[in-house]
Amino acid sequence: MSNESVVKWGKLLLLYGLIFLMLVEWLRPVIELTDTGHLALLLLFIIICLATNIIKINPVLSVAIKLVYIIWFMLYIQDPREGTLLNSLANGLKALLTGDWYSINDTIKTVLFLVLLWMTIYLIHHWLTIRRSIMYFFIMTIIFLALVDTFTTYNAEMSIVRTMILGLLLTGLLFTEKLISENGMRANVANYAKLLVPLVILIALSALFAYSMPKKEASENLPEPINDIVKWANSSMGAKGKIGYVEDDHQLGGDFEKDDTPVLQYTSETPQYMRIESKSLYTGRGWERPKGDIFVNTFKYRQDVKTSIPKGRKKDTTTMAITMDKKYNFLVQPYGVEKVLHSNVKKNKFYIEVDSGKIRAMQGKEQLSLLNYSYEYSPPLYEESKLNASRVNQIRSEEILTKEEKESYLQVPKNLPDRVGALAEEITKNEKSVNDKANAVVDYFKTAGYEYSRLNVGYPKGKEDYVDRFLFDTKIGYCDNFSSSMVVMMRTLGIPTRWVKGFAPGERIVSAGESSNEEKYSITNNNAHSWVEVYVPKVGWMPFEPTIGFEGFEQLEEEKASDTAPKTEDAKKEKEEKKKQEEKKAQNEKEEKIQEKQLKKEKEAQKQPEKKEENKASITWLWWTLAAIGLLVVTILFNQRRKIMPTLLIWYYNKKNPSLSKAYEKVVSRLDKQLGLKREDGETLHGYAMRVDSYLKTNDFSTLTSYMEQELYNPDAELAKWIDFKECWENLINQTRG
Amino acid sequence: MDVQKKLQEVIENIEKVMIGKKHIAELSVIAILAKGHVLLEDVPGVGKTMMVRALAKSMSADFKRIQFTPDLLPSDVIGVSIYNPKEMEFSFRPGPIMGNIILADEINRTSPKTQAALLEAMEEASVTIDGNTMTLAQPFFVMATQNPVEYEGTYPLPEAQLDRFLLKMKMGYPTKMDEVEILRRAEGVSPLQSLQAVVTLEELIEMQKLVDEVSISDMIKSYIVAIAQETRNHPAVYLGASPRASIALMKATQAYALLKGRQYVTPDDVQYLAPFVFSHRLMLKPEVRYDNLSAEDLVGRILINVPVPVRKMDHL
Repeated sequence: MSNESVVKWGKLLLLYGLIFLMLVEWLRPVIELTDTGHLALLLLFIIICLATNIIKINPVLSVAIKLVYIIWFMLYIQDPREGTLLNSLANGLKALLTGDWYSINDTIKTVLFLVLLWMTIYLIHHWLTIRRSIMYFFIMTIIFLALVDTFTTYNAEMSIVRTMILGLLLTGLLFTEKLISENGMRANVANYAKLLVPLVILIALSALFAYSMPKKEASENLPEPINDIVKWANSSMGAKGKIGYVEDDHQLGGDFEKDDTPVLQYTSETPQYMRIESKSLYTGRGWERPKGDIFVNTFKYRQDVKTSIPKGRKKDTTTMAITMDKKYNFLVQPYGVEKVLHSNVKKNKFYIEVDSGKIRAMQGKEQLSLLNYSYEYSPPLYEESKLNASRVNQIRSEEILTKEEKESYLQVPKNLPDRVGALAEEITKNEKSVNDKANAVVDYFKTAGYEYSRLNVGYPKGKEDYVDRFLFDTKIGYCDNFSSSMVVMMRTLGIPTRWVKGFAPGERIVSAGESSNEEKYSITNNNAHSWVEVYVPKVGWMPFEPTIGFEGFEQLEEEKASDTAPKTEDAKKEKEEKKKQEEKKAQNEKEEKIQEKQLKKEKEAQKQPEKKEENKASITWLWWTLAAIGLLVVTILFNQRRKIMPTLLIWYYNKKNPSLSKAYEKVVSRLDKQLGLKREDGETLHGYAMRVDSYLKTNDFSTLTSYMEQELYNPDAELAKWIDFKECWENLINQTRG
Repeated sequence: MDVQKKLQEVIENIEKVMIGKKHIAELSVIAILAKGHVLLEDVPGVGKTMMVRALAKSMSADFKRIQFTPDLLPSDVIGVSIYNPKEMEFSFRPGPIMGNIILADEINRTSPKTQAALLEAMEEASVTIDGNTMTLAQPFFVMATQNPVEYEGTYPLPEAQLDRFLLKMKMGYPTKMDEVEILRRAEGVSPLQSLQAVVTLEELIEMQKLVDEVSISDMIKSYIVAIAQETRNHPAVYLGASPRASIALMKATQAYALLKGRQYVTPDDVQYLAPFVFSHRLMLKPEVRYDNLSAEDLVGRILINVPVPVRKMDHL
């Protein structure tokens, strides 16, 4: 191998090696902060991209290689449980295009990530070879790492040091390259060594010096403006900037804006808490689902639903119709669900997750987002005597809960400060029953100076515990603070408790034409809520509402209360019931007819919204596709403007037959703008023309200029006509395509 | 008459004798066409005489040479009336100035009186002796040389008199390759002997008339004036170019355009000739000379700054 090719390849490998290391600095936090895996395969992809750039293989081949790699990569990591690759790609793409950000699946994320990597590397390649400057990338890397270091848990200290060194080496190397080519030095090893060795030594020394210099310890509390930015960033980056139901609770905290976006409407006689799921693993920062398999119970339409929550009396069973304004791929349920009624889809299967109680609808292997469904349910009622008899020590012998369940519902983080348990003990020491203990905690929040607020809540810093911080330090917060705190406190007392998410009952909406005892309630994002379910021995799971300002559950069995009530009321009730029965009998036939009609109406009503929903979806599809095409066209036009503009100009000028000076001026301005060939003040047209022509390697501009000189300086000359200079003018305009 | 072709032949002739000095030949021809004279500032032995001889021979002109010495008298230049006892009257013996092309060698070595006599003849194209005014031969072209090296015993020409020269130029040493070529030619018979005349004196006079017909637009005129004015306003200049200098530049550009076969003057002509026309007419401030800034450099700088007229309205 000749000296020159050694230098050439050495240089390339060095440059791209440094770039590779810099890209690794980008990947590291991504891998650490997100649950992205397959680092080695990602790195391999980067290497492939870099290599195709170094070797300069045929662009078509290069694209093909990368595509094949991406497809192989996708196939390799595809989880067979999620269906075929094409299926999940299509689903992801659909979610992406319809703006349904939460349903975007990992497949499409991975594809996008790989494509992004590809583009980034292409851009870097451009910077390296054309601009010969890597400053942008260097600065961007530093900014990225600084941001990641400030706003996330990732520690980028060494990363920044490494990036500084890499970046300085890269810029130095590129500068050396420029020096050598601009000064016409020979590109041999000796020349490079002469310039690079001092550079490397200098960078190494300054890095060592900078690293060993004493630095002011970064204070735990960031300076005010940055702290505010952190708060803001946390609230907006956590995808929780607006209130609403989100599945991810691994980091609680931050402020919420009001959001009146409607979520659903339900019909019910009384306002109902709408439960979505419960979570059991408290991490000190938020709630997660314990690792491991998820067990589900499947059931069908009109089959009994097995929930862990006790059901109410049979006679209280009523129905509730739910109309969703927002698409969820799970069902929202009231307490005491017995059956899911869904008139539309017969093939539907439902399953309920045993640990969380979340109900999902399935069709085949796909999760469905039902927009209309109804329940048969009976809100649970708890007998006061049983509640009063419940004791903490009964839990051990309770057989309904398995040992694992007891463990998981009693879990607290290892580093939970002791004062949380101490406080719980203090609050409940006078109470004997589990129920009273729970109520004592609920009351404690109301009386001990806690404040409800969605603003100025903040995040726990460092190793602070979310619950501990709220209970003792801030004493200000919203449902998540109250409910999490109660769960943790109950657990320290040895009472199995879980954290429940869903919606508070929402607001009644008045609507004419409905039967009088069925109200309609509307739930918006503002109603997203969390509360507590306590396991009361011999009774079962019982919801509690610790958040101040919320009404809570009416769940005590009335019979006990009505024991003391006057008998006349009972009699009245009986009479009423009798009357009702009579009326029912009398109106039986009519009602049946009416019911049929209503059923029909319901069917239609259910069909229409879905159609509308479909229309909406297809409109968004269309809109996105059009926007994408428009963007593509604009991009192509913009990219090709250097090629398109001259053609347009030539066409326009041919139509207009311009004067020589007009045409000449156009050429001059294009030479200036497109090629940077500007005439100096003291430069004659002839001199300018010579310069331009030697640059363009033609003599068209000299020819055109001689016409122009004639016109300008020869008073006796005839004016040149468009036809005379048209050819060289067109040639010139074509040459300004760049 | 193909003016350009003939003039090119003259220049080719000179090139046969003088290697690599085409621009000097061109400038000389321009000066002749513009009825001007040339001041060559150069060291001895670079071929000034050869060039003027070749020029004269190509034009079948009468060549005279005056070697100026400190003791040279005006009559040695112009001529003298000598009493002829035989015919009992003074008869005039013409001096060397009575020729078409005159090489005035080392003009700064002679006394101002003699210099004045020559310069007056150059300006007036006539001499007066003993009350008789005699018109000099036409065309009349003086190429004066002055020696920049030896300052001992010289009488530098005053600025007012330098103004009489249309162009001042420097020949300079030939390049290495050119000098080798000069040596090779010096081996055999001098090519000067074999030169053929390509232009007659009558044709030359005709051409001088044609120079005036070369059109020069107002834009160019105002460009010339702008340059001249810039020399007057320049902080480094003590005495700028006179209106006579502007006229000289205009004439020179016209001649140059004719030489290039053009019927009009372009800014390029002005830019090319301005240093040769202006530099010897400028007096730089003494402090500037210490900065090693020559008048030629200064004119070059001025040319960079004065905008070239490229639009019709520019001259207004």
